[in-house]
Amino acid sequence: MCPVKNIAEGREVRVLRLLGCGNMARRLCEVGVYPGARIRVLRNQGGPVMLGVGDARFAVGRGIAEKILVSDEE
Amino acid sequence: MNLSVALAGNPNTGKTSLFNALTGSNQRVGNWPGVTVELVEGTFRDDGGEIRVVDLPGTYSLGAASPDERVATEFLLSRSADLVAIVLDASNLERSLYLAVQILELDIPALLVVNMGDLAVSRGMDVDLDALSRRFGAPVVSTLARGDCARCASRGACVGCMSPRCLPQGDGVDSLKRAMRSAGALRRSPIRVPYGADVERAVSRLETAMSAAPRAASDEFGGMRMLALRLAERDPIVMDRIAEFSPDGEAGRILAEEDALLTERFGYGLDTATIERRWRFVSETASAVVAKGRVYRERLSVTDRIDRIVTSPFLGLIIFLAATWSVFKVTYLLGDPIAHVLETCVRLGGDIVLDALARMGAPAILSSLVSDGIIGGVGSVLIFVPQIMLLFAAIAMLEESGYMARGVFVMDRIMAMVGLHGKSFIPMIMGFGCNVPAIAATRILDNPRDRLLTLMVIPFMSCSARLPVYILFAGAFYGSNAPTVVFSLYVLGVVVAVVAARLLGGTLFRGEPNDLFIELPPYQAPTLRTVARSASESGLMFLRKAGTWILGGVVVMWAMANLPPGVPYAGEESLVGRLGHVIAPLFAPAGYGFWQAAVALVFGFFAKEVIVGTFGTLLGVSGTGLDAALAQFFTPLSAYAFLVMTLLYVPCIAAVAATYAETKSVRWTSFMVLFTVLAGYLASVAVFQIGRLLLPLFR
Repeated sequence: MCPVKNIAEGREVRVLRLLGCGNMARRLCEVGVYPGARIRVLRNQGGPVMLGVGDARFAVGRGIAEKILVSDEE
Repeated sequence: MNLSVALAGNPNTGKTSLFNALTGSNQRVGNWPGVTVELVEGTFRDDGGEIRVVDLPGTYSLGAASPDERVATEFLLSRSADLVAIVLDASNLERSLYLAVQILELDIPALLVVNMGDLAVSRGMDVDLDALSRRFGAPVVSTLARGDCARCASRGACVGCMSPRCLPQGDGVDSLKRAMRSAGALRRSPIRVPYGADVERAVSRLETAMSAAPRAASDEFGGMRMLALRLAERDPIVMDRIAEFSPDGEAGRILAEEDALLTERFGYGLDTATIERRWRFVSETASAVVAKGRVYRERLSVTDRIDRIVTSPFLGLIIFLAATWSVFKVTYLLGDPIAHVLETCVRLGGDIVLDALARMGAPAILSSLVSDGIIGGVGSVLIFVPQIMLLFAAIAMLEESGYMARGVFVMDRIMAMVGLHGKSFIPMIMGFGCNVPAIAATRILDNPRDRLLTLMVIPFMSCSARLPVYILFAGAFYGSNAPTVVFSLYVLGVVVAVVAARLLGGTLFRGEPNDLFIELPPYQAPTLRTVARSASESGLMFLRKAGTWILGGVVVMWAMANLPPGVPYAGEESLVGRLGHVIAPLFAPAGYGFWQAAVALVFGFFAKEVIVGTFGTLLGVSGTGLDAALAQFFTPLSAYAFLVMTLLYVPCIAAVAATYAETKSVRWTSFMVLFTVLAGYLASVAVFQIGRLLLPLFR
């Protein structure tokens, strides 16, 4: 388990937990970043992280990317 | 029988193109009960009567976390529509179904519209409509499956044009119209999402705790169970009213208790668990009703390929800067010739009016009001309307094409360095056009701190109203260096905004900017409709400003220049002259301590363009004569100090009104005024004093 901000570009991972971000956690869940969902890391070179959730693309700041815990193997 | 239908769906599902296809040109903006904003609605007729369709904002959920979601949710809760048509993207069914489940749970008569089936088929997917209807207990209709596109006239293959311009016609839309008519009458079975033992236990405890809640309140949410469920997922609308549903606070206690329990067991709380279970149901449904063939392909590859380039750390930034620069370049390139034509029109029109007045034997005072006041003041401002409209059209294009979100993505890191949010740069860029809509645009920032901080630095962005002042002085004093001087002022405005953001961020607005969270929509071609709307709205807003604040400023200034009766127009003995004499000494350290400059700055408060007109009036010359007249008062150095003041102090009275409208705070509004005046004054004095020390070194 590790934060999505440590995942290399181009990898697909499974979301495990959303650490205490309160409203932000709910918001992420609603757009499809919920525990168990598969997401792709499309851009991660410092600055915001771009996530691929199905066909949709979301940019999250590094603070949020630190709180999205994903499986680090697969 | 007349019927009202709400059109709901995710963004980019072709919802708006369906709306256009259904209602054609019978569209207008209307008010609905229960919702604070205006929504676009349209009508069409069938054998049964009139059907009124409301286009709800595209959202992913009813979570009410964003303004758009709140509007859609409030509208659905108000039960203003007889039927909700939920538009689903066939090629991306899973994502679409989440919102559909939430709407169906509210127990509103619903119709599922599976749109863009062609696209799904072309990607090797097939949606089993009957299975979907059975599982969700709602009628299903598919559109565009064999529909012709009126735009590209292609059958079936036209899905590429899923932009709102595409007008699907034929079978799809007709069957949708028929389905809307019949859907209300169909029997439906309530949807039952399996939330699992833990969530169900929490929900039934919450139900019991809220049993005292008025029946009407729970009905609004589709029954007691749904109310409890929405509370479990901490829906903001329900959380806001928790005291009404559970006056003794029992529901709140249970919520906290269950939350702690689940967090201990799963590592996430009740709200996450509820949403996660719903997603699981959606996911299972999607895999059961969608057959994926061997040729199944990922969509958005074009968008992804463009994003590889435009979101890369360095190249992305360069592309962004180039895009912004092009917007300004094009605005001036196209706007200037139009402005020249308008200028001639204003002058000719003014001459005709003055001629007419003279022939009718109008008193000199009236002619003076018209020529010195209205034509000189307001006319000179109207010339900028085309530029403003072009700038807003360009911004609307960036926005609708999807590129703006990428701009936010690459700018976020830089904005964060100065303590601003990635999204802050959108209102800041708009500030170059006009500060007033820029101030309103700060609404895109969710965090009050980010929003106020952005609001306080927008006045330093050099709006187009300041340009005429720069042009006048630059032409009079700097010859071939004029463009550099004007450019330096734009840069200085940005520098001061950055310094101010750092300064305020470290004092009044402590804390970090909110973390970025934004969707990067797929790229699409901007539509003429949206771009034209944005341009005309900004043009109208500017005309309103010209007709109110600028006209008012000009008339007050003209009157004060004529009073007390009998004094020479705008002379030292007039009210403006006396006012100027009082203030002028303050500006002596900045190098322009004479009364005409003071008066110009005071009236520039109405609108910066008025400064040019004021000098014209006070010095008794206009056009090219003004250059020579100004040279008697200013040195190149003091002229620059004056321009710095013009750049930085309060943009205009309309901007002050906009700041109040957005903050609803007299304190913050006064702070903006004082802060900008002080910044302008100090910078202006610094320029003059430092310049005076340094200039001899270069001689």
